[in-house]
Amino acid sequence: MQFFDIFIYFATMIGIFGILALGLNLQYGLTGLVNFGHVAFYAIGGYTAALATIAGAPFVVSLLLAGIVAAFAGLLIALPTARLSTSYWAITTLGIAEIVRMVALNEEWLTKGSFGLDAITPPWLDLVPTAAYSAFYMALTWAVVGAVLIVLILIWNSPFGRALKAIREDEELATSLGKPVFLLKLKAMALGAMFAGLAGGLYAHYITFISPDDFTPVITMIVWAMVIIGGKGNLVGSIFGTVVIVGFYNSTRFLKDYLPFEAETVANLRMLVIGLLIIGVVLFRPQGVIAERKRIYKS
Amino acid sequence: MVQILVNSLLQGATLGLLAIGLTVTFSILRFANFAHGEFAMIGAYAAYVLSIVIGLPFIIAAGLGVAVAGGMALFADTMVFGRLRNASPIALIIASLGLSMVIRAIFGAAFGADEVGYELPLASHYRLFGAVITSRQVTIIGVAAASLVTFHLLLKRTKLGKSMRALSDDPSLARGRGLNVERIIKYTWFIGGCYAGLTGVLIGAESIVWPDLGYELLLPVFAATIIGGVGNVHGAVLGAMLLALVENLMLAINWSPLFQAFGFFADQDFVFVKTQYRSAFAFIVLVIVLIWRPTGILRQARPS
Repeated sequence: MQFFDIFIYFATMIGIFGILALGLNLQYGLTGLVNFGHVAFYAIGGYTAALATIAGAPFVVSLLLAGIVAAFAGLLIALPTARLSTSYWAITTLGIAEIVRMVALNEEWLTKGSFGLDAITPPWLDLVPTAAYSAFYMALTWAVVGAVLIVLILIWNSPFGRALKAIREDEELATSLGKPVFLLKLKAMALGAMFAGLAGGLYAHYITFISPDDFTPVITMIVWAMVIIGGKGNLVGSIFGTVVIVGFYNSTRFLKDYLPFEAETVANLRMLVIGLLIIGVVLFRPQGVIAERKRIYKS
Repeated sequence: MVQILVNSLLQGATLGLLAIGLTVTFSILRFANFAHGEFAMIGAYAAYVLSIVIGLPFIIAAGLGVAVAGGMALFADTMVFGRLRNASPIALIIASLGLSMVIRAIFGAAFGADEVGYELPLASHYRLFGAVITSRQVTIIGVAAASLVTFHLLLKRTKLGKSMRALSDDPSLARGRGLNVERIIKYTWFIGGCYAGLTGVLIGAESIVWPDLGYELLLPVFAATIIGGVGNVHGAVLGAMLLALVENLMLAINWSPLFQAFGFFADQDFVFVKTQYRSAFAFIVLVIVLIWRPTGILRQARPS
């Protein structure tokens, strides 16, 4: 029975982080936007869903709100930076993640600060038998993953998706072909942020308690590891990377009872491995484990 | 008011030392190095280990600590950045973020999350136009000022400095004129790392050393670099000073009259911004400069 519970836990976390990774893959993998503040939109989604639920909104409404508010935040942060080069994108998005965390920590009237928000009721508790609830929530999470995947597959094969890819490959070329590069970047940023917001909403309802500790910059880095290990611009790769990283990250959490280290040291060693993985992929296999299949057009 | 100026000078000078290394590598290698703050942390811990654990006199430990930071920057270039010379800026940025994680994880695992200090003798206080300044702060400002002048002279008077400027202005021209580009880049990393390490040691001497020391400086140092204009060393120092001044002023202002004029907080006579929001100002200034003048507040992008 315990094995089953652990499996369900892993599957749910893979679903939630899968949505995060897919959102980042849309921004970085498809469009080439270096978003180092992905956790900000995850946090905004989480807090929005939590506050909406506490205020009495039904689950679906709180989840939609989480997506919408996060998308709006993504749009807002993209406005001043969309015309600038990669380095500035990376810096401003990293900054926004710090700001969001600061607000979550210090605005006690809204977020209860470091104490966090609790009593976020999971959806349809009365309809689903308690024994099957965790499995039900996993299925719910994966339903959202499926919906996100369908949207992304449609985008990947649409003129919109091809325009985003053109921006990634050569921004000046895309501009000279008459593509509205500025607007396309805003859309990509808002969409990716919306997915992160949905993931945050799902997380809040799953854990039923959120605090700023759930939204540290570490989250951004592990999602980056998922996307680049799996292979940028590749949906299957993102899911693969998520399975690998969530598996590694959470199994070390269980392993810590058997390892002769303190919990803090284990956390640091985990970050060490993920950091080395990121550097290793960039140096030795920039296309990721599963390379993006490039379509070759013949005239 | 004088106290604010003194504090801003102190913070601006230490941040400026960090910003010059960042601005030079940013302009020569054309990517924002997210691991730059970690060199400050390395310098601070190296000085700690040498002075407290091994027991060297603090001055020698500090000097060696600075050199260790420079050496680590060189090592980082050999292991990671040097292998990506022809890669896109995106690859370099991601690698630098990964490197920053690795360095912080190593130091976090080795030293734990608790802060350490240098156990320096107590400093004496001076009064200066109503402001309090300690003898240690005077030393810090002096060391920072001397190092900044040294860097200025290095850039203007030495062949290495001239080649660094040439490389930052136009890499292909510099290569075409027969400069040994790789050698100049190596020197740039070492010097930038040393200056970052000096920032770490000075911060450690004034307050404490902890594993996130460098990471927490990242947003302010990028802001200082961008305010001054990327590649502009003098601008970076000016940017650091301005940023420190803005932060301290914003935290010192009592906003109550402003709010009350619009009818808010009618019952509160003192409304201050929480000090936890200090680095939020770095971010706000950064975004304003990016919108208003992305090349920095000084007129030329790169003064010769």
